[in-house]
Amino acid sequence: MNCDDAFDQLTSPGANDNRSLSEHLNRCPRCRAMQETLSPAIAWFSADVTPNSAPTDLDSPPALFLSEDAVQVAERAAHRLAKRRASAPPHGISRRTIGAGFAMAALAAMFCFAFILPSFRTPPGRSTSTRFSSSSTMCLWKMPADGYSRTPPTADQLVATCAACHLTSQ
Amino acid sequence: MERRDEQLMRDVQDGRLASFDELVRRYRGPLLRLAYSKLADTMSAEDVVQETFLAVYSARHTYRAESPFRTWLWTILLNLCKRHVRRTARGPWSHSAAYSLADTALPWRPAHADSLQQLLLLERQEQLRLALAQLPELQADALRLRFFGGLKFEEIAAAMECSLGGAKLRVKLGLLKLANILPCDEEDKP
Repeated sequence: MNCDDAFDQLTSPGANDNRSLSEHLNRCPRCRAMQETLSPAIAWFSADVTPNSAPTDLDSPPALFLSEDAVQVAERAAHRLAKRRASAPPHGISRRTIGAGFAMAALAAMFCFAFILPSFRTPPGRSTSTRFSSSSTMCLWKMPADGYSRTPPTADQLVATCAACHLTSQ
Repeated sequence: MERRDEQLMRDVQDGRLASFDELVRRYRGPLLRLAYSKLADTMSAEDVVQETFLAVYSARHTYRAESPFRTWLWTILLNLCKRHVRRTARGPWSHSAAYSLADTALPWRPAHADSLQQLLLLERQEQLRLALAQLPELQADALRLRFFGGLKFEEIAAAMECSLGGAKLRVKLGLLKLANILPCDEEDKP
């Protein structure tokens, strides 16, 4: 169980005795603190009063009433949910799998920055800003206004500028 | 073994109306609880829940069994509650109103009027309703769907048209605020 699952369990109505949750809480101080903070509020929901005793002592049953826009609300909701379902990841591919894919891609990008960009590293004695002197030469983090007022940098230039600063500062 | 909601709904689409009764039996109570929590009026809650079921029945052919039935049902209820609030042009809870239980009628009469325990539960429920009414609407709705409806976070996200992370955040922030609003329950402490 990870922290995300633990939050699901903590806030799950009726799931009060869960062994794997207890194990997770024992070894995760962050989730334990979360449980201590949230449990008083969650406890308020546990007092379940089933409203089946809603007024049924009416002299006559209520008249059935259905407006046209209520039907439209239902139809729109059905269409929207079906559309949402259709755009969801295919069955069998969990969000976690997709997340892992993104993590791998991010790692690959970091690898490129770490091993490819150093080959473009500024020689000692030269300012970093000369590297991109043809267009946007200064650090856009330090002087964003100046940098953008000349020529707006492309996304590649922006990323490369930041990466170069970070790599040369190491 | 209890039949799934989606199977029952397919029956309804095929004209077997007994299955619709079963759906009403399953969901009427929780829907009423949410509706009352939002509208603060028993009769309005009854009306909205009734209209929700009628809308489900009338729009039954637009429902697709690939999406969970209860997400659809709760989405309709939530929207009809919002519409009701707009129409009556008054919120379910006036923030300027005093936070007083004494002025508030209990929503449902207990089945056994002499049951002190049940009266206490009702009072507690009312206190919770008042506290929920003080939260931002999105957070309160997310909490209602989670705890009254028992919806999963994915279902809450679908019903509220937000991301999964957004649904979790709404529940978390709502609980944090509730913890500050509601008195700490001394009885629950060891």
